[in-house]
Amino acid sequence: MSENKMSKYIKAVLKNIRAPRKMKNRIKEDLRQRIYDSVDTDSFDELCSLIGEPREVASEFMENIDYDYSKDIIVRLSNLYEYKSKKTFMGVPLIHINLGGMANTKVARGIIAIGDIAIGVVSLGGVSVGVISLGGVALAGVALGGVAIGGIALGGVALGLLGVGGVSYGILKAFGEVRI
Amino acid sequence: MRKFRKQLNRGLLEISVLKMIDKRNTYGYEIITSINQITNNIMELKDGTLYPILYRLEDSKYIESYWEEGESLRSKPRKYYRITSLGREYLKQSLIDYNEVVNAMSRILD
Repeated sequence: MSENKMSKYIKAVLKNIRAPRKMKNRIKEDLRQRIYDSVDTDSFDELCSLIGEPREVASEFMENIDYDYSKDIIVRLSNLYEYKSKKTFMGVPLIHINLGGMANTKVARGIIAIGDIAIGVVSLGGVSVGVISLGGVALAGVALGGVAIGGIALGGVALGLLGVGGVSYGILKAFGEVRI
Repeated sequence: MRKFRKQLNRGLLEISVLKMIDKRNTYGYEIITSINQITNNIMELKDGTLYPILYRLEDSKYIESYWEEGESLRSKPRKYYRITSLGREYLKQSLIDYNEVVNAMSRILD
């Protein structure tokens, strides 16, 4: 088996394992051994069918390695977290934080909303919708984001009455490298 | 795999792996094929299960690894595992525990 194919497979497995570098190196070394011992193919697909799809192999490792995930900042950030303030305005919580990170996609609805998907007057999230929104994709009166759509849109791709961005479209005015 | 089977295997595989290494010095892939062959794939031992067991056993000093030069057909050295005296003690105790649990269970299920 070529080093290149083997490395590609091992890399694909390790990418899906969340563990300290030391543990990953240990797994890397053992997977390399395992492939040397059992696989006589130069096909990535065949390797997957003999040992398993990288994601499945990684998941099996994750289930069995002793690792205190509660201390892992990335895991902590990716765990579910929800906070809803007791104070409401017209039945809508003043603050709603709802994060599912890599595990889930959670929706936050509040005057101030922070979530994977955030809907609020002020919203912050992967996808955010509101009056003032900041996010990967932001739709708002004032939108800031990778893709921003709104009255005033600022972003990598900005579409709005006033668009400011790498690629921008503005009904009234557009500022940016590429103006449509 | 069913959840119950998975939980059951978890403890049993550790003893099985240690027993395999106790029989003779061996390496990862050989342990996988031997256990799956002996148990007719009932234990369904996979890489993602075996290596973490080996890490736990090695970290607990029940086994130790060493590298051995490859055979003529194999150019790379191979990582072997051998049981330690602490590992033998642990295996002995684990087998006593296992037999006690199996006997107790059979009394419940009879």
